[in-house]
Amino acid sequence: MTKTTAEQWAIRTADLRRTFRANRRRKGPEAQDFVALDGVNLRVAEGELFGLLGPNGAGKTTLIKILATLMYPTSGRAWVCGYDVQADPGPVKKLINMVSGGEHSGYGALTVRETLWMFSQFYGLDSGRALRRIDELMEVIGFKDQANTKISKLSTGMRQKMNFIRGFISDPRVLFLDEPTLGLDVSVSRTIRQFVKDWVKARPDRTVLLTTHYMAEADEMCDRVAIIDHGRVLACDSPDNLKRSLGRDSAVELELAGGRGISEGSLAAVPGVRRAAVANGDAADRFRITLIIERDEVVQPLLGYVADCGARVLSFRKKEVTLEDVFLSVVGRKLDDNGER
Amino acid sequence: MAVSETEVKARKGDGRAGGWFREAWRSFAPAAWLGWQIESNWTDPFTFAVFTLVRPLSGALIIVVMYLVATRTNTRTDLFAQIYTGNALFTYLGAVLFGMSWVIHEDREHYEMIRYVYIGTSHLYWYLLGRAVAKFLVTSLSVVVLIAAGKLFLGLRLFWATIDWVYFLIAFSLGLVSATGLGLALAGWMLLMARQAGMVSEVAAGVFYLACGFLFPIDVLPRWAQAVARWIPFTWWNEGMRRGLFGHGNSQLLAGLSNRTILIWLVLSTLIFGLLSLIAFFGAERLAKRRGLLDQLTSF
Amino acid sequence: MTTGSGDTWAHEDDVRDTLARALRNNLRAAWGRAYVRVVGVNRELSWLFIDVLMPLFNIAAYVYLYRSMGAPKAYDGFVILGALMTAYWLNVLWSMAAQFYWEREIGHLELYMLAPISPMAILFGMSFGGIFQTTIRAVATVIMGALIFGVRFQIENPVAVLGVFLLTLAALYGLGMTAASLYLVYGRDAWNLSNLFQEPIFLLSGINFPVKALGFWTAAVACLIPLTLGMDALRQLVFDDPGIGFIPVGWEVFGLAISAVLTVLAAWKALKALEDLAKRQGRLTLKWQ
Repeated sequence: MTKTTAEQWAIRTADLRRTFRANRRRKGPEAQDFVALDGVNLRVAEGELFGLLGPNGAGKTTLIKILATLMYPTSGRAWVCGYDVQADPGPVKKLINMVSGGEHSGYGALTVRETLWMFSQFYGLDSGRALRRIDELMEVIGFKDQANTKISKLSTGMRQKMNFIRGFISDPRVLFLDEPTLGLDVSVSRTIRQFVKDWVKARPDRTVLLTTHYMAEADEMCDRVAIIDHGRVLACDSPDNLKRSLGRDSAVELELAGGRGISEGSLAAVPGVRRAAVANGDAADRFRITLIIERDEVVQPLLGYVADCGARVLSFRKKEVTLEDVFLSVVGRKLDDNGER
Repeated sequence: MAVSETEVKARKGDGRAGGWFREAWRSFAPAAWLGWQIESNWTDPFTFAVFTLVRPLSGALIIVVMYLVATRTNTRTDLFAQIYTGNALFTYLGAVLFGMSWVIHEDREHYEMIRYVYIGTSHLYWYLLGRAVAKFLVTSLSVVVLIAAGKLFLGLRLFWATIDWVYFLIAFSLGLVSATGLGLALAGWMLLMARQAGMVSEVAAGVFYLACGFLFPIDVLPRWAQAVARWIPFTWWNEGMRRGLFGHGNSQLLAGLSNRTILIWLVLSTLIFGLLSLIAFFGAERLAKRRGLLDQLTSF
Repeated sequence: MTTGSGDTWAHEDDVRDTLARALRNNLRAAWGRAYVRVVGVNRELSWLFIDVLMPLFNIAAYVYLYRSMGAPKAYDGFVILGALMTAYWLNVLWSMAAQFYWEREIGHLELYMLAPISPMAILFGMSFGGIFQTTIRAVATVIMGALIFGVRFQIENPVAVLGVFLLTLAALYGLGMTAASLYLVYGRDAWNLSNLFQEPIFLLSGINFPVKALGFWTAAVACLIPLTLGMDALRQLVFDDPGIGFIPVGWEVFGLAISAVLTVLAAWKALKALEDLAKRQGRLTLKWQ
């Protein structure tokens, strides 16, 4: 992370809240207001590649939309490059761009180059300069051979590459990437991740805010990561520090067969177990447990409990703490469990 | 592991009584429900009711004003009754054609669901029919409102006591079958065309509006157009419905034909039209699949 | 400039536009969006068939209707003139105003709103790009209609005709931009509202008949719609029939000029206000409303 003065934040939010009003005509949960962001305070320095990690519905996209001037907060404030996103969006728009995952925007009748040129015009670039930049970006991403292909003929991965390039044409100061590798294959995802890292490194005034629910992506790419759930930032630090924050806590994984009454609650009740997550295994009576335990000594009583429940231990391993474990520790469930409050 | 034929048949419902019907119903019913949702759930029921009433009335008013301006008489004439009811009944044709063909564009370009619909339903044909049901229901309500408004405010010369309901309903139903077939053919054509050409159903409706005696008798058309009109089921549809409602049609050319003859022509032309429409639809579908156009995005 | 968050970035000149730069950027954006239409229209030629044939069938239907009712021959000409303006009105309503509806569903609306340009530039680009297609439709309609039905236009002052036509377009497009603002907030509601108003506007603007046939007060109210004024003025200018106008052409030109200015101003205000509302309600990027 580039050291800057305290004032020079690329992105800053102060007690940001966003509520969506309910449909009062309906009954039940739909009649309640939905709180998407619940007092978010973030500071992202210039030059950072900042990650926002959270499950679906955590508020990541809502936050990005507010920062990108597409939505107002219900209360609180946000600044991008020092400009208030609500009171002064004009300058903000000049400095940002956004790429969302799963995008398939594009006019079927146009070619890739034409589409990218069109978007360049929205940012005031003269045609010659725009086309040169487009060609350079396509070369780097490995997309130049598709330049004259119509959008309607592109595959999903190629469309996303095109949309990706669109995000960089205006050479933004702050780039919002909202799950940019969603639905892409390993090779394309790798290309995109490497490109983003190189791009941020190339100039110290470039900042990226990346939302993802791929732990490995956040771990690999980000200088700092904020874990967000139900609209709240629960932790925010570098991936290494987050992992270290578990302290002497360890992550263990067991695969069990059979057993009665084993649940996350009952496992968490075993002394020394901080968090537990249970997932189905490969066969009907098998399941996998991931646990965060305070110290290695907890293993024995844990195995005893499992045996008392009549389960057979098929495998046991102690693993290196990952962001997923940090997530489990902080949030109380795995990233792919959409728990209710 | 291979899936047994028994399982495939069980999923498809073959081999059981009514299996074919069950399959079709499984595509038709949810499509009808979906069509109704799309048609109506954009607003509250009151606003929807107002919209459903106001739209056809304002369309009809244009015809009323044109009539008053051109004839400088009142609306209590047989001529006006023929024009007004013809215009009202034409809305069915427009609704069915648009309702079936526009679905292709909507599901392809707007909701991008067409591929899932295609692989999930027994056949697109039943899905399209289902989607058209909502338009048919809304149109029926509109027609009732139009006729009622005509009777109440314009002195429309349409008398319930003299309507031959059986004849009218037979003619009406047969014409609907033709309209449905044509809607299907247009839907097939839509599979091959860009979104900007989504108005092809309006063109088709425009042809029939012009050529089939909805507003004016085919006698007014050039001879060659009269000859073409005789091969279109909607010409006989109009004549048949008018005979049911008024006891007579609006065309001197067809006046010499008996009611039975009109119905026979309607049945024959419906059969031919229907067959050609089915051929057109399945041909277009096959071509779309061969060219990979089924779920293309074409907006500009 | 302080913002409460500390210093802003040292590139104020880069992020604050002068009027000239704003105008240049927005014109570039308009051209970019117009390009899509122009190219698309040339590459997907299926529209040609529909846009030329459809109006012709409508013209024929109304001409034969008038003939079957024994209307004077002049009414054939009214129908053809009406078809000409209908082409542009439909372009305004569906290819510009309602286009934001499609753009939102495709995912482009948020990209447009993200960019440092005015939505009016996008709308202007769309309408400018669509004018080519619409003009083909309009010209083909008029020529074929006039030839087939033997209609003669008596144009003594082509400059006046062109002027009225362009003023009407300006007012119509301003109205269309105002309508487009609804689509920033609403989805299908706005779409159905556009549908709902299509026929009443045809009725009140006297597309197929002299608007004075609606009666004095109705026609007077109808003159609030730019299309009414434009149609009435054009009818007086292209047909040699002294009794068909509602008010003198001069007044109608004045009315159209005021209309053009007011509708464009209204569009600017409405787009700003509704963009604000959409962002407040979180509906700007909400698909499938």
